[in-house]
Amino acid sequence: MLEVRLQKCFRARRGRGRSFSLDVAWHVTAGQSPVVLFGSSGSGKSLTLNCLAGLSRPDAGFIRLGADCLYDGARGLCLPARKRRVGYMFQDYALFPHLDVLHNVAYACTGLAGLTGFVGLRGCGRIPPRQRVRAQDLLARLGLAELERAFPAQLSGGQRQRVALARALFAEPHLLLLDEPFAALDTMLREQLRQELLTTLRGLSIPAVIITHDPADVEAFARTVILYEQGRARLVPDFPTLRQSFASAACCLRHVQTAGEDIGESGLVIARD
Amino acid sequence: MQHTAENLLPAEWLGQSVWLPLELSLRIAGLATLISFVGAVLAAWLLARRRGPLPAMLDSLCTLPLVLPPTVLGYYLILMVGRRGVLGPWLAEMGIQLIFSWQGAVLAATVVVFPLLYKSARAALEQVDAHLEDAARTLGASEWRVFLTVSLPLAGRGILAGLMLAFARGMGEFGATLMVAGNIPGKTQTLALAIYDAFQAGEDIRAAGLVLVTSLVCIGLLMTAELLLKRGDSRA
Repeated sequence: MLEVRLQKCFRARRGRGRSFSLDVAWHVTAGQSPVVLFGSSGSGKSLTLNCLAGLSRPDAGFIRLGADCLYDGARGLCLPARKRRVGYMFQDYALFPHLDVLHNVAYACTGLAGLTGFVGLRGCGRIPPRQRVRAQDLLARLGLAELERAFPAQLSGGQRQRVALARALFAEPHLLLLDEPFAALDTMLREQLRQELLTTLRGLSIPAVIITHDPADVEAFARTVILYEQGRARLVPDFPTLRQSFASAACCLRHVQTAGEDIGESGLVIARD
Repeated sequence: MQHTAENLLPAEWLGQSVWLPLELSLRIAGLATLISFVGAVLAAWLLARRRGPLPAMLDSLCTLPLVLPPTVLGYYLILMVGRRGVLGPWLAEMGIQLIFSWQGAVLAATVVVFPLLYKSARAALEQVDAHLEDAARTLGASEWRVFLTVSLPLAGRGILAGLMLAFARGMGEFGATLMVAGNIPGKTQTLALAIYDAFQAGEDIRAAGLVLVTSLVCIGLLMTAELLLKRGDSRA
């Protein structure tokens, strides 16, 4: 369903920056979503997500989503981000600060509404009536009905996350990307919002890819885990089953990381002490 | 005839030696700012966050009028649009006369004011969180729509500050205007030129009056800018 092969190289420029190369290949089928990309920062997770969304262009490889080809280096095909129908929830949620909640959510259909912010009429852009109803329904479903006139600066962290999710879903994406969905929240809130997000994701029929370096996120979401390490990735075969032989997801992940290349395509990791 | 305080009624004196140059200054600065605004914001948008030799060269070109003395700019403009200039014959055919006309003063002020707007617009656009623009792209917005609905509104305050700066600079423009448009009372004599003229002619009352008017207009402008920016602040 989602098939990815990406190569991208960054060379250090005049002693500044570090050279980095991303070379990953993985594919997941429909039943294996949500997919969690797990790894430390700088391992290439975000770059992978940006390539999927069309915000970065890989040097070579391909991205196939269902029957659609989003990128194919060999054919020189690279769909621009706006044509990919890939929903992206950014780590800092990236809500438009000059638009109210309703206009944030309905951004995908509001034409030049945002321009009103420049002339001092914030949030007065026109939303087609049918789309307005759809946006309001979506907000109500996420428990944000009362906040449609509020601006992002007036929202709590949890509310911002829900607005960002609503905005991504409003555009009816074919794939949902979540970049560290809980990094911007305090610990107390995380647990509650994990459950919330899980419920929402379960109600969707599209695959979701989540980036995290928090084992607790893996525990909550992962049907599939892909480990990222220094620009390389490997799929952990049948993570849910494997997880059951460990006390926690953290232990399981640590084991898989140290087991290294011993995890074969066969799907089973030989537990060794 | 000399417009001295002695041989004119106060109202006439005010009209001829203060209102005319003031109106001309406002008109020239306003038009120049407006024309520059469109070009400078577009240039800033095209060059923001770009690296490489060509963008760097274009950036230098856009900033050049800030560095060159206005008289040098005026000289270049005469080379371009003067009767024997590069575009001179073509302009003459179209019936456009820029040299020694107020339109020429607008041209001079436009060029002088351009880098101020360009620089502030570019800085403001580059400060817009790139994530917000990316978010708009993933939501299906074209580059043009991203610019109009996300980048421009969020850079609005910086661009507004640039507009004020440009207008103020346009009001005070002297050198390039003098070169291109000359110093014709009632036609191309702006406030800045009129003050110099009055001072040179020893008409101290007229000079002082013009200085006072200019100061008041500039203080008013600054206060308006401050108010507008504050209002934007409280909404953010």
